Amino acid sequence: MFNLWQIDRKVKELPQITIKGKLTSDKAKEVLGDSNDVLVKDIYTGNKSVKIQAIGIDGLIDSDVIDNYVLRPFTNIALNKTEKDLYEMCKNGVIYHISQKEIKDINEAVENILQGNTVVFFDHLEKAVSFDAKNLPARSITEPENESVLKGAKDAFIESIRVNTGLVRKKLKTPMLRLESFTVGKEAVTKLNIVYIEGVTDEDLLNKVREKIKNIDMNDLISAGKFEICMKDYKYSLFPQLLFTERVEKFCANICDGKVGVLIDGLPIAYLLPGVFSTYFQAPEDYSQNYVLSSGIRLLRYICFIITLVLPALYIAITMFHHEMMPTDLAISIIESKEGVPFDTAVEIVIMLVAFELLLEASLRLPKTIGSTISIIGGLIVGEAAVNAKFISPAVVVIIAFTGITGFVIPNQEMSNALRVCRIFLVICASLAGMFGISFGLLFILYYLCSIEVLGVPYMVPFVANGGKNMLKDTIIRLPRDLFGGKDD
Amino acid sequence: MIKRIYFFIYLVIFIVFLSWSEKIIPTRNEISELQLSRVAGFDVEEPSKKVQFSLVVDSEKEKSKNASSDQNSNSGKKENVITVTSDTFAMCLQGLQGYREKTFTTGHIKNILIGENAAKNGLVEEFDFAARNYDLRFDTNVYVTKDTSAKDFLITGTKEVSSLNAGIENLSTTLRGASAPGDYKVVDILKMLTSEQKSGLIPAVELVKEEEEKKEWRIENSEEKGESVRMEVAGYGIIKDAKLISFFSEEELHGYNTVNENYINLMLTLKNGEEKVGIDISDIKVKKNFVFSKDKLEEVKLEIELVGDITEVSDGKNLLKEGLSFYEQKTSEMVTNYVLDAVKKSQETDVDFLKIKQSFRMQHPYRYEKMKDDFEKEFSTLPVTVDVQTTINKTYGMFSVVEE
Repeated sequence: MFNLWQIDRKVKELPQITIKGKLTSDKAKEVLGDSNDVLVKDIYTGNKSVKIQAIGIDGLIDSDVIDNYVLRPFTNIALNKTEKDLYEMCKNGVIYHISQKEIKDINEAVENILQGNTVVFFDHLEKAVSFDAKNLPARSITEPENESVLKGAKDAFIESIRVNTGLVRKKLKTPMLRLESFTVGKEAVTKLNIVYIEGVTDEDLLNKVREKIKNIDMNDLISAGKFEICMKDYKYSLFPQLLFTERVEKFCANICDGKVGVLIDGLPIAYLLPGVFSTYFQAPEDYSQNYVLSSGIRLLRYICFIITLVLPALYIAITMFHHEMMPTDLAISIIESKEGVPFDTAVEIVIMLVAFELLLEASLRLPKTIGSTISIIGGLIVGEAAVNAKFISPAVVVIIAFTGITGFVIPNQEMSNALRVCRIFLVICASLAGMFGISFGLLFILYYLCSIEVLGVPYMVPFVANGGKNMLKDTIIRLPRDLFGGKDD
Repeated sequence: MIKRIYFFIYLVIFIVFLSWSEKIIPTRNEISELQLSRVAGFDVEEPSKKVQFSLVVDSEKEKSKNASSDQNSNSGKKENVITVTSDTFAMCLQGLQGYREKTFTTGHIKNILIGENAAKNGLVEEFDFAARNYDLRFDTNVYVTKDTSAKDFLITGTKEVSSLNAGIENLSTTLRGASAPGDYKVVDILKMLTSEQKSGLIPAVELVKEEEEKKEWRIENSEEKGESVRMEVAGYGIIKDAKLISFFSEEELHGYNTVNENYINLMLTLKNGEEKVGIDISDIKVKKNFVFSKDKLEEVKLEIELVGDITEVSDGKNLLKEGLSFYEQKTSEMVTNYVLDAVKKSQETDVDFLKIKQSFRMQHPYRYEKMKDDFEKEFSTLPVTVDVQTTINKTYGMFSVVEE
């Protein structure tokens, strides 16, 4: 709703790359243009009357594999053979390679080259064979940066989809694991896989995910945001609808629970669908700790969710409209702290919220080395100097600091961001109508949350729908799974 | 989606318009512009019969001095009393608004004192104002000031203690701990005033000069010099037809607490004051029996069982099981007298603070229906017998272990 600017932002229509022409190396070279990383290798038969061509992209192909297992066998068997003989032999396995594929048209040939395969063209026959011998640049598997855990596996997804699928396979050794491949993007073709366990994942949900992916209408899918906007049922909603993780362990656990996973080539994260409200309050640590402790922390997160959403608005409502609600000693303390401050409480809160957002934004953009300087400057200037200068009252600093801290308790940053906007909405409501305004604002947010769905699943499930079934299973608290028919824990 | 956006816009417009309506949204008052008060007093001025509304507020001079001096301003803060006289309490409050640059609010009043004269004139006007005032809390404690007006009590009180509210809160604790079932709130008084009889009790406070030694204890503070006046609990005032008609004596208060099964503590003074024994009565069971002759109520019997402990023996002697029976008997006699005093007061005033009428109604509903209109009249002349059985639990001697 708040990113309205995107409503009319039409995708710039680029022509679909549909190449018309024969399946020849010349056509492929023409399409790929005069790029210096396009490698073309001519292979001649003994009498040099027959020429075949191998095309690949330098930096994406594994030269050793291509040299030793594709080109060398070709030169060895090519003596006195016709082009047709060579093609038949190649097709029938004389050129031994596990991932070899017959190409149907020039489009497929170009796509294969771009994805790092080497395509051997038989120009006179207008045939081609693709050999998957990629050596894509990829970093090594590292620890997750944003979802670190004390107990649990340390491997995280990287930018290579094949490495990521391998990591998933390594964790989920079940024959029922299915990976379906899709390519999206008109201009920059991007590969993505949906991951699920057959028999566990709901078929309707799967079909909806497939449908959504097929309907993606983008020039490229290089960024995460673009994928998210395509997959969301409520595109303009503030609240996140796709859960993402960089941890393989979390991804696999959710796949086992019946969610559909999406791995995108080029992104070091994986998406989990559907991302309902309660999932944004779950952290990996929850499942490696005792259930009592986990439940306590989970409950604390929900409390913090309410505090971070409501506290500034509540402060405004109480100090401007319903001062009799607060204990008298506290009221006197606030009155004393506001001595000499020229602004209304609502203005003070808005100033501090804006200052807080500025600090947050500034520290995000800065390098780590000077990020801490911003915190110190922010803490000193906003926190102390502003209070000493009677620009704002100390009570407001406490309220905003507490609001900020409680906001960071929520494990999912996207949910936290959504709350930041809702918080300002409630502040406006409270400034206009006190508790009445807050009630109205909260009811509106609640109504909205209860009305949206993610791929046909109510967003607030299990708090709504199913008659509240499994409401306490793994939501506000985390009960031992054996209470609900689970085997572990 | 477009519908949702329209709905959202309408919602915002709706809230904005509502915020101008003071009928729905409370008036916007910045907290720093409010003048808070924690104690208020209601009086009636004689002979004009105008009402007086007193508020205890922080002294402005002291406040400004403290605000600029140091952070521990609370410790040296002084309070003063502002009194307004007018035809109605609402007009008094209205009149206060122009007095200082701040807005006076009743939202933080914790204790309301009603002057004795005002209470004798009737509590209806005061509590009508309290019930209709938006800000005043219904859980505000209410007291009647014995032998003085609320205004004088507040003025003297503010001179004696640094925080009058804290002083009265402390009295409230004494009331709870020593003799009463709890505080009486505005809502309790409203309940009483809207009941059929408009009768009941109201806690009373008084100012006592230390040298009068009226109480069971006397406190001295080396810091205080000269004549000192202290705020004390004065038991309860008795309300009938919404008017204060009398106060409890200390004996009557013990009797009242016994019959209402509240905690009491007693002091047995024996051998012309040579031996003193303190007794805590922690468990009281009262059975109210009604004796009839044909259909006529002939007598009320109060059977009381007390269980207590000895808290202190002045000569420190060992109290063995046999010896305790003497103290049990003395306690029973003492409590019997207290209860009879309380019964007499109830019969004199026709106020059912011992809940005898209520018990009669529950035990004999048909008979009650027949005589409910004349119950007070009949009860005022009815003989009441009191039978008290006391059990003192095992206690320990200073010099040897008591055998069971």
